[in-house]
Amino acid sequence: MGAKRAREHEHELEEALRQAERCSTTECSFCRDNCPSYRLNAFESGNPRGKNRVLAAYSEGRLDIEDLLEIVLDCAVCGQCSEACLADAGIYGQIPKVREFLQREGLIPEEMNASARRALDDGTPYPSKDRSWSEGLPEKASVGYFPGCNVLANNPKLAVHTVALLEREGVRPAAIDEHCCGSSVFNAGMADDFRDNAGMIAAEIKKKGVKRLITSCPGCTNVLVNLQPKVAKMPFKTVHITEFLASRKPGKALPGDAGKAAGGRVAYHDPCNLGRKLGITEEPRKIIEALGFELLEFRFNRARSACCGGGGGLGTVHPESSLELARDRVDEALAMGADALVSTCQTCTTRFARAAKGDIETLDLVEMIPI
Amino acid sequence: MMRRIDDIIIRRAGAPDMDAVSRVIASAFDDKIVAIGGQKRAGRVVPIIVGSMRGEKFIAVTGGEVVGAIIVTTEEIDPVDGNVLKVVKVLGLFGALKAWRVARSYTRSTPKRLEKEGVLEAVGVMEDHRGQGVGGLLVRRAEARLKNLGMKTFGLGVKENSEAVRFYERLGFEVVTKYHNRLGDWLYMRKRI
Repeated sequence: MGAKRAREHEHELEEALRQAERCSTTECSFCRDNCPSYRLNAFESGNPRGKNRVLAAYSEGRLDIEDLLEIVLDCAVCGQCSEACLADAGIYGQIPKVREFLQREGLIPEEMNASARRALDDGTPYPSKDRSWSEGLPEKASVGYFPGCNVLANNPKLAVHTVALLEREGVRPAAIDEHCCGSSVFNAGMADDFRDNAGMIAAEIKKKGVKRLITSCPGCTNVLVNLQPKVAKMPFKTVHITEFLASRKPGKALPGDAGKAAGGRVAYHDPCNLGRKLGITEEPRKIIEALGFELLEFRFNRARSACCGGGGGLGTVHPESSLELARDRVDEALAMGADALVSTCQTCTTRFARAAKGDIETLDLVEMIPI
Repeated sequence: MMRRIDDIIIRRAGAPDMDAVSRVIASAFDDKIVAIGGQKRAGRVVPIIVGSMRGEKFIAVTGGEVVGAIIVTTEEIDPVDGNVLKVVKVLGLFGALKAWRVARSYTRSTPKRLEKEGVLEAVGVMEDHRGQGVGGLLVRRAEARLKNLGMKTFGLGVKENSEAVRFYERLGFEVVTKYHNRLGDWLYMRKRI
């Protein structure tokens, strides 16, 4: 470890200790209520309060770095602990740094590293990427569309549908899909590679003349808005598709305006990245209501929404357990009497579909808007 | 060989007992040990967690071996109506204001404890010694300590439909409310002491 890195490491350990001290001041345990990691591991070390204590013990030299492994990898990085914390001590803020420590020590599991390497080498963490969606789109435009690897791997029709909606609104976007946003690289603690990848995305966007980037995936949107600007210059504005659609001029109806859709009762799940980390909570609701559906609310919603189980690489490290979290959400939607469980994140909807096993229809909100 | 309950000594846990307390509490969470990273890693992490838990700790000892442990707490700091000065001291004025804002707006699943209410945080009995009344002795000892500390009630959360509900009912606890969190459906039980 170089001298600079050693100083940074020391500083990070001191911060972990301060955070644990703040946490123990209140001992409120608000963070436990809705923590996905605690749902999977009901022992104290599975919740943010316990994780703070374990991290503090490591900082004091009472534990080895390997002892942090499960505690750090079982975190969905959903951020609800920070939202609920009285003492500004949510473990969410510490997890990326600790994953960097684990990466430097060669302790990150191979499945997470493999996913991150595919994102860097192939431009997607998934085995395949359907790029046919962008045929016929201009090489250069002031507006770009970044569908995200998850959409292209699991639901490429959503990208085609989104482009059709944009074109109906008079926007013909340039396709931005050469590189992955790098979320899996960030989650695996590969800080240097994440920085390089951000630079490559910025270069692609600059080359295509894009000033305004429209996205489908909340995970990518969070990376582009909150994470990449910390490591690279990103000279464009990023807008999630629901923000774009909900911001149509007054008097101009939303695409698929009220009455044209089928109606019915819709439970809307706020993706962590969209609702909590980007504060986009009302726009999707505005669209659902404009489409004429009855909106049903989960108990934990908006900025305090519950994680679907797919965040932070949890679905990669613990695929079965992460589906239990998705099933919780499905069961709550069924209990509310919803006809469909709707979200605006492909990670969430894919997970819900697997967990629901046909018990309820699971949809991306944008798919519900008729062309 | 089945031991008689008279052989069990309940005493306060001191610093040298913390490893034993951790071992016993961990035994109650055996099915969760895999999630902590297996027995070896749990052997290091669990003592950290148990050691950092504040509150009164008692152990059940028989034949020189610690076979049961209980942890109860008497204090919960709440920025809304709790020890405001202490919160300000550690979090600063700005941090305390933020804490107050979150506490005001957050609807926690777990029922709020009453003033002067002790709460059972964890109790465990080693598998070979279950069904012999050790848990009951530990709960009664903790209850006596809470009473001495001026507590008026003793509360605890327990999974709905679990065998433990009957156990606590036999000890005089009554269900006061139901609640739900990501671990499932729970009952909050309380007794006047």
